[in-house]
Amino acid sequence: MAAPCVEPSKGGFSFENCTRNARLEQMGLKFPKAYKTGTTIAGIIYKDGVVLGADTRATEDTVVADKNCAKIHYISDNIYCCGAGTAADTEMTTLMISAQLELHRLATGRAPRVCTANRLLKQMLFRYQGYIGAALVLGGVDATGPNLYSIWPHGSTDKLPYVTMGSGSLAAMATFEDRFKPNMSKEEAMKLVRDAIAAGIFNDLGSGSNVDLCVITKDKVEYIRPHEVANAKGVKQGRYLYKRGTTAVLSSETKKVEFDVIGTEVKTSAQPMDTQ
Amino acid sequence: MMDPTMMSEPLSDYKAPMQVHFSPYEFNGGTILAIAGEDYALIATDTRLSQGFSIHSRDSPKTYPFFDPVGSYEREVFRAKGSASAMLQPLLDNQLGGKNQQGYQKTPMPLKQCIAMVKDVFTSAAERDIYTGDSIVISVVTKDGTKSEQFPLRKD
Repeated sequence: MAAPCVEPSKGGFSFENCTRNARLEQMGLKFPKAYKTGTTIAGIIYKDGVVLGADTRATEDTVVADKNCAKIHYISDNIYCCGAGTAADTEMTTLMISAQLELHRLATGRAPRVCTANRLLKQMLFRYQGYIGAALVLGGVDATGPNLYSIWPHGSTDKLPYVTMGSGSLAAMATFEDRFKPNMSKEEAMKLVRDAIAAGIFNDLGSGSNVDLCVITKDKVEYIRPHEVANAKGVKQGRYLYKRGTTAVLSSETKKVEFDVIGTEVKTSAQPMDTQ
Repeated sequence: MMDPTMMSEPLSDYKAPMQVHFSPYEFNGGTILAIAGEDYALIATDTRLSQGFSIHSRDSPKTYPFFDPVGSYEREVFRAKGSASAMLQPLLDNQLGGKNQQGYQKTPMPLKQCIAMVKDVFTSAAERDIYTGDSIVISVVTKDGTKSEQFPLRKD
């Protein structure tokens, strides 16, 4: 008779904490929430390459967490990627794929293709079943010409001449549907992406602040940040200075600090010292 | 004998039918603020009306002429309410209430200075609260009557 034996671990994922966490949540435990970048990101293909665009607001529920964050991430010298969704996830997935592609470039001795980056990203996101909250707009120029993809958190992708993502994607797509045409000039393309991102900034509460652009052509990348400060900060009307001694001094102590003079130098300052 | 409470416990994967109600209430955001000065009363609101991630109106002030008191109320000298109230109130506590300051002497704030402060707190709130923006309407009530002015805020 065969002796009963414990099945050895075969590796892979353990989901035992999922049921535990669901039970804890049912019992009223509040789990920490991740930053969500309620975002507008977009990209289009034009005559000589691709233009990527993004707003710069990061939100945490109804509060603006970062007024000027960068959502256009570097993948390789000829490929960039805009990220919407959970900020940490977009940051780390693009970083990991960027590293993998660099090794691929070194191994093959060729500039990476956009379709390769797309395949790496979608396979990673599909493996994690949507739990990596990254919605991406991937664009670049390679041996085949300009390429543009949108990638969803569950791993599905679209290859299209114009794409948008994030909470402001409807506002941005409305702009593209109205005015996109194939083979636009660089100036036309930049203006259209600017207007699409601006539509998100002003009409979607999850998006705001500035417009960032990235123009990729066969042998040049222009990363423009900011392309436009769409919302200037308001000017202060009053002055809010406090009288000396407003903050209570609870105790004080004077000590002599022993030191040796190593050298002296006389400097003249052009501006009078601010004594306020 | 088995514990009777064990019997009434449903299986973990069993959920009782859920009754769904229609909720007529929506959160429309917005921030309001009122200050009682020595010879004036000031009431200010932002003019953004929103729902979820959408803006319904950029020019919808939340000040209304007075009818009858409804609900509970308390007499106060300065108070902020609404989506950015937690951002406005601490500054009012400091500037008007003199809170957390040693040797603070309370002096009534002149109207002009008060209006400037109200504009500043709303400008700051619009920086960080997504539901506050577009513009504010400041209404000042004095013995001579009511005067209103509008002041722009950021529109994103």
